[in-house]
Amino acid sequence: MSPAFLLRRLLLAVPTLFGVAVVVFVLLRIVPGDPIAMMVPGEATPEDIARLRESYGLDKSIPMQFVIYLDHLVRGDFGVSISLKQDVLTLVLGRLPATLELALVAITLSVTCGFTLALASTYWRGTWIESGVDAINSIALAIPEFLWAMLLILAFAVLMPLFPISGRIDPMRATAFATQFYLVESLVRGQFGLARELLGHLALPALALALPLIAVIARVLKSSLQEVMVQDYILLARIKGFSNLRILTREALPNALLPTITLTGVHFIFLVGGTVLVELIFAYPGIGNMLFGAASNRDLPLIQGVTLVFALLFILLNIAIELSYALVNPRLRH
Amino acid sequence: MILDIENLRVSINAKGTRTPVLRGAHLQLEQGKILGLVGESGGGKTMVCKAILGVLPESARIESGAIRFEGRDLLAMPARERRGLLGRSIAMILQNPMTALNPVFRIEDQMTDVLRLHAGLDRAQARARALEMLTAVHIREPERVLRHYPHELSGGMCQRVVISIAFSCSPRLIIADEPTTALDVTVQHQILRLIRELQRKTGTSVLFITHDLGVVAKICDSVSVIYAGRILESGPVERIFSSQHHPYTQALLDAAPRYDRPDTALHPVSPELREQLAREAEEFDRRVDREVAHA
Ligand SMILES: Nc1ncnc2c1ncn2[C@@H]1O[C@H](COP(=O)(O)OP(=O)(O)O)[C@@H](O)[C@H]1O
Ligand SMILES: [Mg+2]
Repeated sequence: MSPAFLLRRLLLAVPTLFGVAVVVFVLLRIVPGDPIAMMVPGEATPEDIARLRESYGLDKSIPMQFVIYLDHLVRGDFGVSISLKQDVLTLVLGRLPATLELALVAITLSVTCGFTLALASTYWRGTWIESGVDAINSIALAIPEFLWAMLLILAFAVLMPLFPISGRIDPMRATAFATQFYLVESLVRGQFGLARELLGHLALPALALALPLIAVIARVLKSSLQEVMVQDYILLARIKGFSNLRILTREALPNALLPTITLTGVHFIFLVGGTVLVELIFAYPGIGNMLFGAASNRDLPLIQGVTLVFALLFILLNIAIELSYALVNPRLRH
Repeated sequence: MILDIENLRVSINAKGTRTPVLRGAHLQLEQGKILGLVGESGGGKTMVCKAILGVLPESARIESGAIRFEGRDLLAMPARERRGLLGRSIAMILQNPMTALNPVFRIEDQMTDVLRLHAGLDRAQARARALEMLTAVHIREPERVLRHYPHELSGGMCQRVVISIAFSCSPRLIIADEPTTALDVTVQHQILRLIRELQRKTGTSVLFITHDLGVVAKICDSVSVIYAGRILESGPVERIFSSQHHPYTQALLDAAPRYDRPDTALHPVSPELREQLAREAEEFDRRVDREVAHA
């Protein structure tokens, strides 16, 4: 993969982000609801409201507001949250690591489980293992992530209280961290007790996010593997005398990766989008949860900030997916 | 006798019905010789190879017979032991070189993996041996070819690589399934000559499969003619080309291009002969079914 390609993709992100900024800005001005009315106490006078409106720049015309917004944006100023009275960028960056850790654990879980299921059902083709995997897949696919979230809470937090229902960590212990990447930091420092607690909190939300993607990966990888297994080069590998396991994992799997990444790539983006609802359900302090709070308070600058960060995440994820095509296919490397 | 196939019957399950694809095949390959197995496409030649190697499709079933390799019946051998022969004692050259190599690995990896598994070589030794083998199949700049991926090589080059993989562990039997069919005519001659040359040098026994009697005349010591899963005729090459033989063999001879006399007309196998052969095959199946029912 050439650096030029990477640069071009990153530059292309700029107009995309601009487009997102426009659409979100316009949409937020169209939908009813007044942020100022929601924040002022009942006894406020019309003058008070007008003054507040002016201080947030909401008294100007919409095009003028947009120009000012853009002007601030290109200087790295995302504005000030109306409901939380803090710098939007600081707020978003403070919460982003929690969401990234959740998404990362969910993606790792999806890939590990999806691959294991696909490989196992190909290796034991035609046995009960294959039928079992197919059944699990159908169930996992039929239920969306937020429903999984509820079911998992019911099963593993209420009926069998194995995992905490909500939050990221006991707030008393959160002070121990120097960064917001709690999980990464605790692992780097070798504080495995803390890491275990964090993972305990992550388990159910990550699983809820992962289940649909596990099913998608397992299904797509399994069918690509079956296509690959009848190819001539697999026959040659068998004739070379390699074991079935080696043929499956070392000869067939690398060839099955490309169609799998192509067909599942967009689902990774769905997963990141799914964090909004799942964070809300598990009261997990990430940007998804913050977005929900911002939306119910009509906190326009905060909504715009979180949306832009999500858009940026999606774009970066897309580029990562494209990079991985080249990684698994020698024909695309030039 | 390095390979002795006796009364091999294989059927394939296609949409619920069992169709015989090999109807009692007999083959005898002598140590150090090249046996040609010749017949039209669909005759069951590839099935014979896959049966020997134990890589028949899942829908296929061996009904009866024996495949003796160096006197031991492969069909009665434990699966593990049988697989142990593959790559080490028995190797194969596939029909289509462009699909025979794994597209995601460099040639080096695909040549050295088998050497490291069977010959117990380390990475450097295996690489040295791979270079040696590429030189033996007349590839110039073998160093460069090792670094390539299969899609960067021509069909002829890929086939040379596949041939060098087959010969690299000094197997005692090589099965070549129409190794030149997918190649350009000029390349076909080079590859044929190469297989003959390597066979002479190493003394490996070769089961050479083709649909072209002209090719058989060039490189084989003996030949068996297969049609619809039956061996119609077997014998030394000279006899097949000179004397009285089965009408199908004659038809194949008439259909084969004469490299010595390019102006002679080609005669395809006649429909009447096909019908007669089909009748014979059916009768054969019925007879076998009766025998099985009696037994
Ligand atoms: N996987 C398969 N499933 C069903 N029938 C097959 C399969 N492979 C081969 N056959 C049938 O078996 C017969 C012999 O095929 P094959 O051995 O490939 O012939 P040849 O190599 O002589 O061209 C053909 O009639 C073919 O249609
Ligand atoms: Mg064939």
